[in-house]
Amino acid sequence: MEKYNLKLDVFEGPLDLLMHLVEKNKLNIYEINISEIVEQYIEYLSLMQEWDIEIASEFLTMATMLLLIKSNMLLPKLKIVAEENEQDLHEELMARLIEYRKFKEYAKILNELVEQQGKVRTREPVSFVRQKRLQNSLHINKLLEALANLFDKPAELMPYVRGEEVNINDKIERIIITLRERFLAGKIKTSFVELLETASVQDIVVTFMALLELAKQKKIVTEQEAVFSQLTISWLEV
Amino acid sequence: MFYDYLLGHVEALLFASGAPISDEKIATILGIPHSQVADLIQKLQDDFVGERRGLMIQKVAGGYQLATKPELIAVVNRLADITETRLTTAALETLAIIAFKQPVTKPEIEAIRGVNIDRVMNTLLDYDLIREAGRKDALGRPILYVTTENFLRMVGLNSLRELPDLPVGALELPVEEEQVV
Repeated sequence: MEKYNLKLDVFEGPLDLLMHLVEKNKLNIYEINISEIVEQYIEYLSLMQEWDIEIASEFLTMATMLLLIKSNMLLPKLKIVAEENEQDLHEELMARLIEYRKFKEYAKILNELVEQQGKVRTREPVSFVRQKRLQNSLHINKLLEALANLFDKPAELMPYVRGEEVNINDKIERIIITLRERFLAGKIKTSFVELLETASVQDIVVTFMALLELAKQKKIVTEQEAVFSQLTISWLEV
Repeated sequence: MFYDYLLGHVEALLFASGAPISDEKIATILGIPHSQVADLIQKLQDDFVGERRGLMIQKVAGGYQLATKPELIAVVNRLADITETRLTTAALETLAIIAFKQPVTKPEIEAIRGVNIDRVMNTLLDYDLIREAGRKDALGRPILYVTTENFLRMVGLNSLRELPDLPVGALELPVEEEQVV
């Protein structure tokens, strides 16, 4: 038995793996018969499985395709996929392999360019569009003047509007406490209305958002029998 | 030369801009004939030659930009704790396909690479190497992708036309005499 001593490269995809096998077997990409490397391809997949490397579904799709091509070659009379010409499948795969190889080479060239340019530093682009620059005329006296004007103004010209704030995190905490208490008291279900603290629109919105967050955290389950009907909340944790 | 007194002007513009500035823009700002810019740039470039200067002028992304000389990268990097991030092979392959086939859609790229490329595309978009450019008039109207100006700066090229061709014979595999048949 041949010992596996190949390095388990991470392949970029099924085509990358195929490319590797073609090169490893020193096959000519233009003349290669795919059936020669089907076994190796599948061996590789089982090796990946053994090593617990996650196999992307694309690898398996390719394996199926390779097996199909091979079986069609072995049984020329009995086309497994009647409408698909085996030669076409084979040619198509070869064309894809050649195309892929081409871009792998391009990628190398690109990488060299990036590496070269990586040795060079430039300044970050500066945007001069609509750039506003402070003139040097800002004197400390102007600041003091502005401040003095501010204090001179009558107080009532500066009304202070205070909005009621409902913090969503606080709301979540309060809902958890309520639900937990009810849960311990044997009441598993709570209606949405029972969770409202005031009748304000703001409270309704915040309560609803808090419930969404709790549902996302899988702490509660919400039920609604019909559209616009009562929302029922069940506490999931103790 | 008549316009030599503007050499300092050009240098100042390049320094202040950071981003590459085109011939046209330099000509407009300085109020000189367009054809004179290349000559000024060349003179400035000549001044930068030698160990006493640390900068050079690069022609990238359709304009000129000031850059530190490549041989000084070790010194410049000492300015900050710079961790060089490299593009992964997957990202490079995807970028290569976009660069050479643009505008190109995600399914088209996936067909060539044979793998799902969602994550790689996000990386390239994050690095501002590619951008969306409309949609293809095909089933599902898939988004078309092209490379950005930043991509040109990254690879140090003036335009996409400067992208090198594949070296001749790059597609030929070294085939040995006793070939397996």
